[in-house]
Amino acid sequence: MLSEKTKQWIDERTGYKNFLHAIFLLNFPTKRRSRWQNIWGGALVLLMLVEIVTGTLLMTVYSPSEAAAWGSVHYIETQVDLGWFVRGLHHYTAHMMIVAIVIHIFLVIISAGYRKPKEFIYWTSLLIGGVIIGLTITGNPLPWDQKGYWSYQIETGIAGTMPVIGSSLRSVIVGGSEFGNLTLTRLYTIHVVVLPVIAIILFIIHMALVRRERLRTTKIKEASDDPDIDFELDEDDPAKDEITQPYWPYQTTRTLVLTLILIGIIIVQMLVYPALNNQNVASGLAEWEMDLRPSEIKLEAPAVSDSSIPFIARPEWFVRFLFELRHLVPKELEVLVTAVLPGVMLAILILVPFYEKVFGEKWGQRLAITVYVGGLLIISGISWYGLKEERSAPDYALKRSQEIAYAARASWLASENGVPPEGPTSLLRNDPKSMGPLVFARHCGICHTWNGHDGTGLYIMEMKDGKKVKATPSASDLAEFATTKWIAEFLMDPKAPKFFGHLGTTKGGDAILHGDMSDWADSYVGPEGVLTKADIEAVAALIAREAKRRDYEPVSEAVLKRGVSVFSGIDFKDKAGKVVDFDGYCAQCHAMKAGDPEDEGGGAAPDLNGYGSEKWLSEFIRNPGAEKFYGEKNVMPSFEESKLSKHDLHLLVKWMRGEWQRPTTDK
Amino acid sequence: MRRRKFLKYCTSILSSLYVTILAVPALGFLFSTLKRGKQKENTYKLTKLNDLEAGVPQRFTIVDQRKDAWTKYPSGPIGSVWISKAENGTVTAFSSTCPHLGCVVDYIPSDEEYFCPCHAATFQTDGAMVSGPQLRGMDNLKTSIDKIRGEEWVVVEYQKFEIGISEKKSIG
Repeated sequence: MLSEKTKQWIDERTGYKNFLHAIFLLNFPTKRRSRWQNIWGGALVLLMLVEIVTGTLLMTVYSPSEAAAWGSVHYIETQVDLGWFVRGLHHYTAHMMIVAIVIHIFLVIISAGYRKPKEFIYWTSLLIGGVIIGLTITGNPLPWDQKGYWSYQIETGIAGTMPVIGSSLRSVIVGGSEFGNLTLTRLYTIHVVVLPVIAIILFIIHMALVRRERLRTTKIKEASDDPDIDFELDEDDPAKDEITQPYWPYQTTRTLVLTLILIGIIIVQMLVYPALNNQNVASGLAEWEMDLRPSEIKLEAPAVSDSSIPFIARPEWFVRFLFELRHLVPKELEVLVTAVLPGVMLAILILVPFYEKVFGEKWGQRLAITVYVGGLLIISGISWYGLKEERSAPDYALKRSQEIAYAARASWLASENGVPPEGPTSLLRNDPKSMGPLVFARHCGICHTWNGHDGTGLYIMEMKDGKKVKATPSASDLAEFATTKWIAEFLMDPKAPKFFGHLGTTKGGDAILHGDMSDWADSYVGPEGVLTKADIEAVAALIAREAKRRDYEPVSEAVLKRGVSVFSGIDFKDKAGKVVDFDGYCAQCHAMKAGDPEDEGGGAAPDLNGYGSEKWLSEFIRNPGAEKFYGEKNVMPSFEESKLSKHDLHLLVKWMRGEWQRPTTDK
Repeated sequence: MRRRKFLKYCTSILSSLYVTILAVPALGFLFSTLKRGKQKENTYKLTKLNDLEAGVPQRFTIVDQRKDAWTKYPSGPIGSVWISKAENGTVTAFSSTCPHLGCVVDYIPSDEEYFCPCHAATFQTDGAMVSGPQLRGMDNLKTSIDKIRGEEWVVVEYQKFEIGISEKKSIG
């Protein structure tokens, strides 16, 4: 520390001691019993300081642009030492400040801190509270993740519904009519410059008023305590039972204790929930968990502006009640809830000092307390109800776990590959694992299923006898398509519900359901049929080899040979191991070089050369009615370029074949 | 006044705790970003040996992927090297980054000298200093010859070095 002499030298030139005295040694008049009550304001200042320090640190890495925002936050979370801690502290301290300000205002009301001459102190604290909420709202979308993006869409949409100024206000905030780089730069400016400067100005005014009031009370108190001055306080004067103490160290200790407890709560929360909280996930969603790392950081998937990646916008907890109330009023009155109601609430709080003018001190304060506590209870009730409703919705767990799966996937891809210069969205847009299920659900899920669902885990529902039931698919289930298991199951029973079973319901589907393949299975498979289970599995393995799927398990030469004998009918051995004539061989209708080398190709049934491979699948989806596939018997619509883009087809086929980037340590 | 002293003691303990909670992550945060930019040296196959004219240095661009903090750029120029072949066939390569302050060094054929346009640093064809403010000669890079389908290719191990000091010290 500085020597006395140096301190003296500086003080003579700056007067800093006096300045510090004025702040910290200011006699702090307080009721004996309320010394622990008057510490929330101080704690809020210290929390704000935490926000300024952590915010400045984040500014050294964060980059406000559509292509970079998400990547830079991901970088903070994964690459920067203690980045998760700094970001977490910044995030949760903001929320803690909202809680602290609600408590602070409550304590002010019950100690009548709004009463003359303290009205302006009260009003400035209300305004600071409003600015803190504004800071939280503008901070939330900065990572440009799904959550922030969509909630900011709604918030700016609400701003746009305001009467008269709405649409111009919205375009000023958004920087035009649509979200983009300018939205982020504006958001950033509001968050790091505009609102903090307003908050600091309000804070300075607030502190000046507090100081003035305290000095005044101290002087009154000192005068009444001084026997030389002929001044007595009235018996019922509130200053009567106050004692005076310097702020430092009496109040500073208490303030620091509270601040550290609050920061402690924040840190515990950060350590307990280091990642996106997936407590609601429905188990049994194997596809979503397969090859997916669980979320390791608190960052949603990057914002996808065309909503091709599903995300349900949910409001922050402190505006949840507005969101719920909107559903309760008719559409035309929505603007009352979104734009007028917050104004009314602010007015109710601002008018608190005047309640006493109308109702008298005692009842005025009681009314203020009732309004404040009652309002809080109603707001919490509505918010709690809304949350409960949302969580108990039938698809909530599934949808939320999908969102978290996308977040985790994007985060993993960004860590593995880096974020491409065009932005983080393409990480997901070019990823079969992410896009495949969505393309399947949109184009194929109407007829086909994937393990029973539509690829994304949802079930297509239909109304039956006034009840919602799972719709019956009208085409085969394509999960594990072209694997040995799938083909073997199909050969055992093509008419099973999983395969052709429901085809009869579609136009022309009867021809396939009761067609040659079904007849073949009836004649050659089953207890009376000449084919054994081993025969079926051998020919299934032979056909599955064509697909070259990554999960194909190679079989022995002998099994393949047996498969060839079934496929071509040459050297076919019956159950007793005797070479017999077999007229149910596949090559009669299907072409496949590997099964029958002499075959010229072509035939009455789909060509099996390269069956299930990327090329075969793409060609099939583009034109299932082609000569080499189903020909005239085809009932599946063809998906030309105009219906299904090349990009989507590629993603779909890759996904169906289980080909996507995986952690290299696996397998 | 014992109570007052105790409270002062408490205040200093608690406030140091508060400062620590902020300062430790702050320092970690600020200093960890310095790890960035450390690139591993990589080898690049730049030219066929026969295409080089003896005694005339030629500049080649190093093309590679680059990762800048969170962004991964596709292949693009990340630097360049001067390669020259002596009459006896030995190949030398220099980083084109001036060891003075990092400008790109040119070759002036008429003077048979390397010349940095920023502060007029000049170097001999063997990279040694001639005149100027630089503290060391041009940075020599390791080269080797790879035979691919009967043809000899010059392979350069590209690295970046600290600038402005007399010692040749690789970054990273």
